[in-house]
Amino acid sequence: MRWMPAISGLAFALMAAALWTALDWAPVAQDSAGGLTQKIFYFHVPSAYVMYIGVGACVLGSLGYLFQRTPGWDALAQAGAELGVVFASIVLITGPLWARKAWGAYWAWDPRLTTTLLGTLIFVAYLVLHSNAAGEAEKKFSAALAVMGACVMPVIHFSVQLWRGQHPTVITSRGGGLAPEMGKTLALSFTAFTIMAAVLLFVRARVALGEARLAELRTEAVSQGLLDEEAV
Amino acid sequence: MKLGGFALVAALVVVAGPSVGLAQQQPGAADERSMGFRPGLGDAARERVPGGRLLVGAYTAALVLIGGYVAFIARRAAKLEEDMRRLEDDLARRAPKDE
Repeated sequence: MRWMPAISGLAFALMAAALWTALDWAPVAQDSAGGLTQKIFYFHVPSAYVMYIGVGACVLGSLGYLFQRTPGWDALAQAGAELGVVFASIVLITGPLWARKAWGAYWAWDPRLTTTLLGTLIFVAYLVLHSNAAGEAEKKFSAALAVMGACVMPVIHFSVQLWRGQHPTVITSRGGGLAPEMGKTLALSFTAFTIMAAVLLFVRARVALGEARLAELRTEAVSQGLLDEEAV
Repeated sequence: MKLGGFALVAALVVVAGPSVGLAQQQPGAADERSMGFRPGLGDAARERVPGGRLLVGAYTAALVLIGGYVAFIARRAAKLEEDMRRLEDDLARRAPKDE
């Protein structure tokens, strides 16, 4: 934990640099890509990538919990789901604002947009279920929901290659590519978002684990007669 | 047994989901969506839809959500520390009584 302030500071500095680079240094794209609004790309795409990291952590934690039933796995799953939902929300807000300019409409029932919305709602449901979990059975059920819900992630990722729609492919192998300055800006954003996601995931999982241990300690203290029941 | 059954169903869904998509793959879908971003003239004055406002709105929303989540974690961490201290105090108060 001694290195955490330094890593957090690095994440903050890189985010500030990514923001400045995206808004000021990167060139404005052609009008067909949205002109000025194309700059949303530098936060929109890394946010989608952090959404995948969050969901991946949630699935890993859920599988670990299903097999070992330890609070550490459960804390990782909870932290991952929260991270995934927060960054999926960023994707779902910034995307339509860009689309308003590039496509002329905030929303289209494009396969990628629809599956992203569906995936987000599944993990919102996971968080609601998990936050109301009173015992192990509910936690197991929410873990199973996370594992099943994650099946939509490959569908989101490959939807632009599988089906026709409006969402463009730019940085995939068959995408149109980026101008050099745009590529460097995106690389900086990816670096900043990766470090920030790692910090948020680690700190949130530690807090969730601390909360679980505190609840265990209180229950144990009550059972040993060291605390009154109303203190729990 | 229950866990094994669940793992089997999960594995089937993981494999079957993308497979259905692949089976229905439309030829040329990826090529049709292919788009490159290149610097443009970017004359904001002749834009019918105000790109600047949309851009500011998007970045503001992203930063508010990230900042909000950081604040949420910080509040939970502070509450955890406070609850832990209270538990220690409660136990310490109780200990001399038992002795």
